[in-house]
Amino acid sequence: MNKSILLKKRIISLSILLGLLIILFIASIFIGTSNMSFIDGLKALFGQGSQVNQTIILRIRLPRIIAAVLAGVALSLSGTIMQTMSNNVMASPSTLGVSNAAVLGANIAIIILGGGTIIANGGKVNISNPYFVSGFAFLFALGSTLLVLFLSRFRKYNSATTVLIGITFGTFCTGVTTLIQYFANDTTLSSAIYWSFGDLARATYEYDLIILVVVIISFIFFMIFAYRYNAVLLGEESASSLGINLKLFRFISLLLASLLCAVTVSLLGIIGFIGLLAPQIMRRIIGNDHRYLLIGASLFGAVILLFSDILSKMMLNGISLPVGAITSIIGAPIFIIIILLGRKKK
Amino acid sequence: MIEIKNLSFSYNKNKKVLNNINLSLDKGTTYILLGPNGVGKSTLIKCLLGLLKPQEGEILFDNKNIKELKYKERAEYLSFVPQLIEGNDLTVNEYIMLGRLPHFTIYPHQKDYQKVNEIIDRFNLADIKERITSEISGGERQKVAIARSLIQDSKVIIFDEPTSNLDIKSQIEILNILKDITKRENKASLISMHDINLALSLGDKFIFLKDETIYQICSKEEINEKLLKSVYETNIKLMNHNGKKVVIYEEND
Repeated sequence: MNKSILLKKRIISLSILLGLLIILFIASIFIGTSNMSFIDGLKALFGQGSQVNQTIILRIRLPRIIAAVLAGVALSLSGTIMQTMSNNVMASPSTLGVSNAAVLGANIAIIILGGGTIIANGGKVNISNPYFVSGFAFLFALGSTLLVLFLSRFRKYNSATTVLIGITFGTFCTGVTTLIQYFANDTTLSSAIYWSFGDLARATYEYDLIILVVVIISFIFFMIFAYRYNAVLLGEESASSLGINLKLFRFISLLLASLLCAVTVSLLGIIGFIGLLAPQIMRRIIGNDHRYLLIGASLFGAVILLFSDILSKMMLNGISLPVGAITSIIGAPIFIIIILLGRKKK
Repeated sequence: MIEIKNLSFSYNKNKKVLNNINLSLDKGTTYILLGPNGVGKSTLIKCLLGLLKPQEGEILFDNKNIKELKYKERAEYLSFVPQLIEGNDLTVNEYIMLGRLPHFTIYPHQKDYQKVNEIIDRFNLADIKERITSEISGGERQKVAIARSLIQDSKVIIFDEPTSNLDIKSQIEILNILKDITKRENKASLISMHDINLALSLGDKFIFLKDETIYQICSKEEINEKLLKSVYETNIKLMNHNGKKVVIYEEND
């Protein structure tokens, strides 16, 4: 029986990803912009050595690494479900307009409501009132999701409609954002632009906890209904003939997917491409069975984001770059290669 | 078993797509749904599947209104085989397992795996069961979809154009499978079809749709040239070949 060839391939792929994730996680602890030695880092990790080193490891690096893992998982899960439920491989957090709406919300909070100005502290930049800005971004992201889902109802929840409305609404949000920025003064404008850079340096344990809760709830939900997501791949008629209340299922799934993205973007800014890339690559490697795909995409997303974060810390000596830019810069060529390779096969 | 009473449906208020449809489906019978393109065959199927809500009339499954049944309960009555399924990158095995979805809550039980293996053996799909559905032939894909609908154990199976896009050998293979299903499992099948010749060799009852409603329901014996001409509004001829009815297109001189 060669029953296990596919299963083996899946288990091997997932194990490699898990291994990579662990290696990158550990490596990340010792990589940063300060010139701390490995030994000092190790000491700090176990609460010994200098106070400064302990702060760097336990208060700056660790929450950031955890955020990278969680955000990678959140965005990949979100992208996977959006792609499956909208029956469109191009669907992702940015295609459904969620990210753009979050940016609009943040811009309103920063520029119009004066919710955040930059406080520069030793080369590190902070928004003065992060929860206010994130809260606004979150409300807008969630509001946009509800609006897009509500509007798609008018055309019997057609999958293409949802994506089209999402893209259109996203463009609308970007337009309004540009107008707001046009009238902003220099300080608020730079805060607003800075905010939209996906940046893991913002992460705190509180942020991590918030993302973790949403990730766990969504992941459990998605895994419980893994077979139903498989059935959705067969098309509307078949899925509903298999006993699925498609309208309700699509609504809850897209809502959770958007929630994942909304929480991540509103806390950490826009981190591009992962939501599109991770599920796409994993679909090709381990197939479309959501029992494996959801786990694979999560691991892959976490690995990519963690890797990008390491790059962002190493590319310029002493300065950490916004990770959102790195994911797009390394994600785009990978994605194009995959598309071209995929064509060759057919 | 399944009854449609005075069903009317329209996408917008101005024009009805289906008007006053009355139909009942009984077990052990193969029903063929015939009629020109755009006559409402797909709409009727979508109404039966609960994807479209008719404005008038009702659909009853064993005298229970479909509206009052849960989606899972509906799945006990109806399964659906769509028109030649585009590959969606599930493996044959995973694809067929979905037929058991109405029977398990979260993940399949031992019994479900057993059912899948049985049907894979019966349809000779063992060699391709780990292959991805987009990489197998059209005929194989159709068999896989039929296998999936069979292990759903529903009372009625609806097929949408099961033989379109297949070469003649695969058409005949699928046809034989379909014939076998109704007899062996005592199910009702409702098959939407364009090829009248294939339909004639397969069906027990023929449902002709025309002008948004049922034009006639009849047996094979009752089908005549006049009926076909008036349904399709074209010059077709019904011939007799070794006791079998055959339809040919007649060119106008």
